[in-house]
This record gives sequence, C-alpha cells and structure tokens, in this order.
Amino acid sequence: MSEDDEKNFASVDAQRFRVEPGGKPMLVGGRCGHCGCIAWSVRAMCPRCWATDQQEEFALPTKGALYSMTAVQRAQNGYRGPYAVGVVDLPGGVRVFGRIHWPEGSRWRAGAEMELFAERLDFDGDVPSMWVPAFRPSEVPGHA
Amino acid sequence: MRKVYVGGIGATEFGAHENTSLEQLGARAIADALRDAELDRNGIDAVYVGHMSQGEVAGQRILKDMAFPEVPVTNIENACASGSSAFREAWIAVGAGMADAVLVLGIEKLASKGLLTLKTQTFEERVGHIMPGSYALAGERHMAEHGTTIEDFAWIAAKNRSNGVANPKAMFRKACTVEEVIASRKIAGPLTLLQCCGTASGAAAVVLVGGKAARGASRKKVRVRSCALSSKMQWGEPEDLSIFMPTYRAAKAAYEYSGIAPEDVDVVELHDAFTVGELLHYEGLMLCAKGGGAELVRSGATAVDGRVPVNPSGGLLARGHPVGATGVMQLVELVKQLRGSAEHHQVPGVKVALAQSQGGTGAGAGAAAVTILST
Repeated sequence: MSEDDEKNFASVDAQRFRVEPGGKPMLVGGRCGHCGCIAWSVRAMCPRCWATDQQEEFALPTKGALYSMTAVQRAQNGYRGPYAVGVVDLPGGVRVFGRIHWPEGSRWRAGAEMELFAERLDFDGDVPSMWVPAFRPSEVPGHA
Repeated sequence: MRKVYVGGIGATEFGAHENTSLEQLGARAIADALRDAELDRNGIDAVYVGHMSQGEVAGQRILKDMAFPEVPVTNIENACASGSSAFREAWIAVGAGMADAVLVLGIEKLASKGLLTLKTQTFEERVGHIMPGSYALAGERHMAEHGTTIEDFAWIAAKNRSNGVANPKAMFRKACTVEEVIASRKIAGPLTLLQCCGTASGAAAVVLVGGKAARGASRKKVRVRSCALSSKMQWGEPEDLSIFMPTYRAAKAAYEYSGIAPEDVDVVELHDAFTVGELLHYEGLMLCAKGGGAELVRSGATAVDGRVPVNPSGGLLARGHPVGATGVMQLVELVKQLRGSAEHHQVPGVKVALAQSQGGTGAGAGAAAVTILST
C-alpha cells in the first residue's frame, strides 16, 4: 500500500484526532478565547462560559501520564481483538482515551509516561480502515 | 414532606419472556402490587414508570390494557437507574401531598439477550471500548492503587450467583466458585463472563402511600426514609476512577436526610451489573473507608451471613438486568426483608435497608440513586 493510500484513511473522529501529512499524529484541543477553558476538541460552545465565538483549535501535548488501562478480550463485532484501551492525563488537565500498547509480560504502571502515535484499525469486509489515537511508553534516553 | 410508606409490592420473574408482551409483563407486576396493597386501580392517584427503551408513552400503553383510570402517568428514563428515579418521583409526589397512593412500575423487555449494550455509539466505542470496559478501567485503577485482586472481584460474583440459587424470581440460578468465575470467558481487564450481568426482561412494581391511604396497618409498615439522586455529567476535568462519586454523593444525601448512618444499615441491594461495581459501591456507600473495598470483601462482612449482607437476593448478577425494572426490584426485595417475608436468605432482625442503583453511558453521563427504607 502506498503512503498516499495510508494518509487517505479517515480518522475515527477528525474533530479529536488527525494524522498530518507524513503520519504525524495530533490530538485536537479546543481553547476558549474568553475564559481560557481547554478541552479535547473544539466545541461549538465553551462548556464553562457558554461563549460560542473565539473557540480556537490548538495541538494538545503528545505525551502524558497513564491513568488506567484495560485489555479488551471480547471486542464488538467487526473489531479485531484482543487489544487494550485506556486513558492518559496530558499536562494542562485534559484526559484522553485511546488504544494503549503496553509491553507484554509486565503489569502496567500508573503514572508511566506515554507518547502518542497513530494506529490504523482494519476491519473485516468492506468497512474502511481508520486511524485512532494510541499510546505507548515514551522512549527514555539512556535506558535499555 | 409527609411520611411515605410502601403499601404493596409485586414483580414478575426475570427471564427471556420471549412470548410475553410488554403490556402483559407490566400487568402482572401491577396486579400483584395492587393486590398486595389491598387497593383497587381506582385508588391510585398517579403512576410513574421507569424504563429505558420501551418507546413512547410506554406506561399509558401498558395501563390502557388494564382499563386504568386516566390519572397522571409519567415515564422516566435514567438508563439503569430509570426504575429508582421513577420511585423517587413517586416518593416526592406522595410526600408533598400531591397524591395519597401512587403506583411505581419498573419494566424492560429486551430485544436481544447477552451482555449489556447501550444505544449511543460514543467516540470511545468507535476506538474499541466496550460497555464493561468502563468498569474494567475503574477496576484496574483500584487494583493499581489498593492492591485489589481479581480474586476479590470474583468472590463477589460467586457470592451473588450462589445467593440467587434460592431466589425464584432470578434468571441465573447456578452457584459457582471463585475459581470457576476466574476461569470463565475473559471480557475486559479483570472482568470475566461470570462477573458480568446478563440482560433480561421483567417488571417490578411498588405502591407508595401517604395521608389517608396510609391508614390501617394489616402488616408491619415499611417507610421510605429517603431517596437521593445524583448525576454524573463529566465535561472534561479528569476524575478519580477508583470511586463512583455519584454513589457517594447520593449516599451522603440519603444518610443525611434520613438521619440514618452507614453502620445502622442491616441489608443492602446494590448495582452489581459488574463485580467491580459492587466493590466500588461498598466505598461509595461508606460501608467501609475509601480504598477499603477489598478488605471488606476479604472480611466476609457482605456475605449472606455477614455483618451487612449485600445482595442476598443474588443482585443483578443472578437476577439478570431488565434495565428499567432493576431499580424497583431491588426495593421489592428489601421490602420483603423488612417485612420478614423474604423466601430466600431472610436476614435476621432487619430494621434498616438500603438500595443503590446507577446507570449511564461509559462516557461520563449518568445517574445514581440511593434509597433508605426502615420499619
């Protein structure tokens, strides 16, 4: 499959997650220009001050602390399991949900630093593939 | 608020009910409750119906087949807390003096059997989440923070499923050991199949009375001491997944309103849709300190012969979970305990009983209700 074909897969939700040309993943944050409230995705209306203007997009941090994760052994129809999902707390107070890739054979650690990547989900039949946000432990320089 | 009493109870067994219509299910529970209350349909001032997916004006469709007088009927949806939310509205109506006798019906007739799934496909579900996954995430966090083990969760399933063997209204009446629970099919995280409730169809009904309708006691009266409702509306700030805050807030409000303390509670029916739920609800209900759920499990205090039996009826795990009916069925079970007439696992000397139910999506929207009854 060519790189162009890969890029053309849709995101699970373009308002929350995008894959830029070249494959770089981005979590879409929303910031209210009036009150400074930040959230995952730009809302039509700021949840805190209810402003409907000055709602701006920005790129959320791509690293955060693992809060919880779970293996999913009995997936929904069409989804190819098993895999794991979980939640990561980003600096600034936003918690994001995505696929979690934790090394086999060791128990996950609360607070472990994770980094974002784009995972492609394939489905059976004619269902198109899609990109989802995923996290794996950050590379730590100097460690094996 | 005036004093509000339980005048009558009724329920169908929970099961597949493939050949029973919604209207027939409802009629059976309602007729039983009215008979138990020694009331005619003309003695009912209003009806509250809790259900999730039965369609428009479900209450009226059921009651018209019973030639019910055209009193006010309100249909209420709060996911798995629909039945308890309907009960709360009825309690308020009678307590406020707007009605003297009110019928509460909780009912659900499900289209398909199996594990619980909800209508809304959220972002999380598109990424690959499943409904039990929210409980699995909470369970994993609890394990990470407090050393809770899969054996602790599995013990709850063995307890409740074994309790349910003696319950004639329960759908799943097969005892199992902790080992069998752990060895059952893996679902998510620590949750295996036997730790998850199965869907069912069924109906449960309660008649609440106050004022004129409460006079004359042919049996020990059960009084509604409080019924508190809390919401979950998570809009962004990260929350502590190791505790169910709506349960805690509803419990706190229910204890404060009634003047009853957690240590006064003699028996509990709570929302064990998944074992992780029961363990976390021990903490939310302040039956133990925050983080003390596993310790409470290991002490045996919540076993059917323990200090504070939880789910002696078998809970959702043994009964099955007709979404709208569950909240009302818990109250039916507790009324039997308080009257001393439980056919299964009667707890000796029950004076105070507590019911907790909760419902919602896995993605931050829901409700929890806590009701306290006493003699």
